[in-house]
Amino acid sequence: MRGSPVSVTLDIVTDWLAGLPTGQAPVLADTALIELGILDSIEILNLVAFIEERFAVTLPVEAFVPENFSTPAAIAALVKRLGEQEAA
Amino acid sequence: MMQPERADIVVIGGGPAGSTAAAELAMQGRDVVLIDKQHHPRETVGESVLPSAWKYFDLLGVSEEVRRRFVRKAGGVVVWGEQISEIAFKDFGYTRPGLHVERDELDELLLRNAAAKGARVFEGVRAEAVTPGDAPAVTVVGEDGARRTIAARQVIDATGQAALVGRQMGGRQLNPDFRFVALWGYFADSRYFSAGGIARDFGEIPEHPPLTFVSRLSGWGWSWHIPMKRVTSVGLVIPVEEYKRDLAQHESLDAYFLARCKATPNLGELLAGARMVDGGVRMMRDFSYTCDVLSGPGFLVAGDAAGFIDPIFSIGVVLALYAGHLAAWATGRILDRPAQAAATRALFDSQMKGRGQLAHAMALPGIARDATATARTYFDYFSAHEKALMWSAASMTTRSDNVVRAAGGDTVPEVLRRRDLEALRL
Repeated sequence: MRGSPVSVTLDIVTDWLAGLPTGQAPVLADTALIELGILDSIEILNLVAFIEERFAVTLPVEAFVPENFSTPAAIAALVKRLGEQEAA
Repeated sequence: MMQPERADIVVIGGGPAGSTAAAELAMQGRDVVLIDKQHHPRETVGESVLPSAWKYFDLLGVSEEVRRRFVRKAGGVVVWGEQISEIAFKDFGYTRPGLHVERDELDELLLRNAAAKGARVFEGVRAEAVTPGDAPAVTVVGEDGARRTIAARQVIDATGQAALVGRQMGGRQLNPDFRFVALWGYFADSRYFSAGGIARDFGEIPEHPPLTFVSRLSGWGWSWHIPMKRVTSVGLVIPVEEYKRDLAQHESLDAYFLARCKATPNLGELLAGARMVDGGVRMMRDFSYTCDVLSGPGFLVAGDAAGFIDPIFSIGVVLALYAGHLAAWATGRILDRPAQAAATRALFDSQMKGRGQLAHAMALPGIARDATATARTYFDYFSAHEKALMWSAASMTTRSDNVVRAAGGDTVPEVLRRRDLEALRL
């Protein structure tokens, strides 16, 4: 999936997030995932495992900061950056 | 069951961190051995548990049993100098309560669960040393006195305050400003505080869930009062120097403890008709520390073995469950993706350090090195509700100025959901 458009990445990430047992309103690109408690300390680890597997990227420790996981759009942008770094 | 000579993963310690890690790794189908130097059930302290523990209990499949077995608590009430304040978990969006647990029972439940999930559990086996490296090993001594080695692919040190790796490899840093002694005992027929700061008889617990009651003592010290199923845990956290000085003026430790409890406002009244049971006063050092070494080739350090913070806000068990979960995640990742082992350890370290420094900022005043910056980053991993609970709890004492700084502001923000009480109703 390396090099996919951000919109495709966003759909894949949003689909994964929609499967969380949050009982929340639909997850949109700008939904505040951490703020609303959708992405908690357990799920963020599951998400990291998912995106690494799905997009064949590795998350470096510098990138593991809350702002990179704050919304689906931020996560998609993170995946894009990681893909570009690994391709370079 | 014969002790094995090898296992993919050796977990040292059967407290909440070790049992959580072992259970989760076994649930992933991995080969796990857990050793504990004691036989469970074994007594320990730290009986107040926050509602965020439930998501870990769900994950471990023990929520129903936990719900059935322990006293639910509605929140906390704190007397800190002139200020009396109460918080209720339901005001923060929690749908499930906190708990007051007999720790021998909770810890055994979690350990037996790890075994039921497939971990091989050996009790009465003490770990002496961890040999780090690509093929790590644990040197153990059984009750027969024989020394053996268990070869592993990954080791998790969850030895609690024994801090096996921390002591073995150095880098265990005591915080010299906060050296306390914790004294505690168990009382039958203590009264307790429920919602609104209303004192009730012990028998009313099922209808009126208790609050954890904390009050300030001198020199940053504090007391706890935690009603459980049959008895109430009552403890005093006292600076070491004060303890040594005052103990000399009493004929025994029991006499000193009881006199100090009775002389503490509100606590003394709750205990007026109560009696101490089961073997008198317990004592342990309550020294806050951190470990510089949280991981290395072949091993991770989780729970109190990685650091201990004076437990005024009941975070110990949740911190241990989180650390166990994180250690299981990192261990699985290291085994599955060995090329990224160092990166995974860096992630593990940063999360453990962040949580530890946030806990430090909550519980202890003053600035410890870079604690505030790390705590601030970590703070943003929490939801708005969780942050509100942390701010509100922190604002109940004067110990937590660091949390305000960690939150990035000069004052506690407008999300406070703390109720100030005129007086407790004894």
